[in-house]
Amino acid sequence: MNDETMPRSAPQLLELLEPLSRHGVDFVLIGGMAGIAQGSAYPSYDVDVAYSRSHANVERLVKALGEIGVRLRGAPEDLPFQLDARAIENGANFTFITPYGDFDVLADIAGISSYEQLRADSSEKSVAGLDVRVASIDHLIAMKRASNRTKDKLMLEEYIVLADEQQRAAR
Amino acid sequence: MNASTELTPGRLLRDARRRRRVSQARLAARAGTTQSAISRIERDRVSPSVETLRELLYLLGEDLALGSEERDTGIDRTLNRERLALSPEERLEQGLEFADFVLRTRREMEGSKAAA
Repeated sequence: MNDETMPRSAPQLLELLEPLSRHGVDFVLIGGMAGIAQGSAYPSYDVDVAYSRSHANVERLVKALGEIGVRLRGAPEDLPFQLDARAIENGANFTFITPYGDFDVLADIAGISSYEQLRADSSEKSVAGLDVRVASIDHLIAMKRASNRTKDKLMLEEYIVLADEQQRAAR
Repeated sequence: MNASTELTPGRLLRDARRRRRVSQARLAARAGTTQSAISRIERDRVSPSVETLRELLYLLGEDLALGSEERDTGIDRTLNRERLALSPEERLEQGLEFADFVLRTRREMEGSKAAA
């Protein structure tokens, strides 16, 4: 994210996640917000979720995204985008703008072998008053490790420290 | 770390071999390999496994001592400890407030720059 793409305010978690929960979408919170939920001190300016690619789940996801009012981020205004299961199944990762902040919906995630593994190691936490599955600190580390961005390398260092701190706190 | 002083497997082996005054050819003979294979390791053209390095050092009369220590990452752990004392819900509330603070401050700074 550079100066031109910095949002004006932090995303509204409840408005983005509640429709997913209500429609029973199988998803896991990842990215910077998941890092914060795990104890990271780095700010995050968007919301990232990973989702299951099963057809039934994609159908539920489409309903939720429709309610949120997503639009493709960085795409020309006149680029047609029909939000339906076919469109989601033809792609994998979608970066959206919404009235509630930037929202990334991802299925193909560098550093993660499968959604099933990501979900299996995630834990349910209360997020904006909702019970939401949050990626494990180990998977957040794997995702940061797979990224080459400077920002992610800094966060990788913090996540490794954070995992150590969590371990110490659990003793 | 300075490349010329960085401790690599090759440098470790070469230093030990020279300290023991053993030629590459003799070490190769002891190890049942070729002099060129020893040379490639010492020049860091290939990276030996820990077990291979341990065996070569053993053949020189030395033991490989591996160690590790906590890395100084520069991360302020007190910030993370403060957050770990909160619930995930509270962490996110604080995180969102902080993100808003950062964004507001950036806008104010850009505004004062533009005014000047």
